[in-house]
Amino acid sequence: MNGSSEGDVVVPGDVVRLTGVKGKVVLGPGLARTGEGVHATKCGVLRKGGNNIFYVDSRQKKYVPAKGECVLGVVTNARGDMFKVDIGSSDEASVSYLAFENATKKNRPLVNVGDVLFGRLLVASKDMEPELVCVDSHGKKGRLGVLPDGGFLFTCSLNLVRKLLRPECPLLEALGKQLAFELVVGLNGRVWLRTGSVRETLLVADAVLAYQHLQPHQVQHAVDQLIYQLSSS
Amino acid sequence: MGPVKKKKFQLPKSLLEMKFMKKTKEQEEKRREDEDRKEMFSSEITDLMVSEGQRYVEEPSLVPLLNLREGRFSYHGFNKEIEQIMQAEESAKRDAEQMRLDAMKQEQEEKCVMDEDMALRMASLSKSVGLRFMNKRQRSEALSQDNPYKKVRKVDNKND
Repeated sequence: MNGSSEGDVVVPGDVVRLTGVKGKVVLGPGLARTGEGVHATKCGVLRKGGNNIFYVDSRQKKYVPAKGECVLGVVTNARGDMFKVDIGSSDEASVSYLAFENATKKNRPLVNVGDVLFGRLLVASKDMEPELVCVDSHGKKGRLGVLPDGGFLFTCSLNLVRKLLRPECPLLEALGKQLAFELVVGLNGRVWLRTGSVRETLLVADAVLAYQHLQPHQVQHAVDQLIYQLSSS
Repeated sequence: MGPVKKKKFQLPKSLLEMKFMKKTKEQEEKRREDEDRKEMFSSEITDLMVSEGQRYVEEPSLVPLLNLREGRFSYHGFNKEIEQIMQAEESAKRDAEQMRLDAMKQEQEEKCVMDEDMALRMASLSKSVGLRFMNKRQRSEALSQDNPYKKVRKVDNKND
C-alpha cells in the first residue's frame, strides 16, 4: 500500500510512510503505531519537525489533555480537598488545594468558583481525570496560579495557540512595544487578556485572532494599522 | 532470534543440583523460563513487533517537539512579577549564547597552529615515518618520485 508522506493531508486511518529517517522516531500527536505500521489518528497535514519528529498539524478546537502542558481553566467547584476546573477537555480537571504557592493544610488558598486558573497538567491519561498543579517542583508559582480579576477570556483554535507560543512569533513583541497588557495563552485554546481599557482589550483580542491567517512579515503592518485605529478614534 | 533454534547442550540435572553449580543453575532456569514465555506468546508477539516497538517513541504533547514557550506575557509593567521572570529568562538565554560564542572564540585562540597547517605537517610526518619501514629500493623510488628533477638528471647522465 502506498502511504502518505510529509506534507500530505491525512485523515484518520491513513497509513503514514516515514521517509528518510534512521533509528528512533518520535511520533507526535495525531500519529499512532498500530501493529507494524504508523497510522494517522487526526485530520490534518503531516509535518516533520526536526530530524526524526513527525506529527499531524490539525486545526481542531477540542482539547485533549497532554502531560506537562500549561492550560487555562475556570473553577467550577472550590470546596473540599480537590477543586474542579473546566479546561475544555472531555472531563473536568481537578486541582488539590495544596498545589498552590504557600498553601498548607491550615492556610487554604483563596480560590472561588468562576476564578480563572493557569495550571500545568500533572496527570493526563486516557482513563483518568486530568490533574492540574499551580506550582513547579520547587513549590514556586512562577507563571502559574489564579489570575487576577478584570481579565477577558476568549477561545481560539489550538493551532493558533501553538502559533502564538512558537519562539519566533513576532506578534506579541510587536504589540508589547506599543501597548501595556498582560496575556496568558493556555494550550487548551484559551487566551486570557488584561489591559488598561476595554478598547485596548478588544484591539489586542482582535489582533490575536487575526494572527491565525497572517504571515510573519505581515504582522508589523497589521499591528501598526490597529494602533492607528486606536489613536485616531 | 532466528525462528529455528538449535538444541543447546544441557547440563544433567544431577550436576546442577551440586553446591558449586548454583549460579549456573539460576542462569539455566532463567533461560528456560524465557524460552517458555516466548513460546507461549509467539503467536501474538512477533520479533518485528518487538524491534519496531523500541523504534517509536510516542509523545502526546507538541510543547517539547516545537519548543513552545510558556504562555504568560506582560508588557510595559502591567504585571511586574511576570516581567521579572521574562527578563530573567531573556538574560539567561543571552548569557548562554554569549558563553557559547566565548567558548568558540577561546577554542580558536588556543589553537596557535591552524587545522590546515596541522594537516600538512602530519602528512609529511607520516611520509617520513613510512620511509623507515621500507627497504632500500622502495625508499629510493619513493624519494625520486618526490623529486622528479633528480631522476631527470640521472637519465641525462646515462645518455651522456
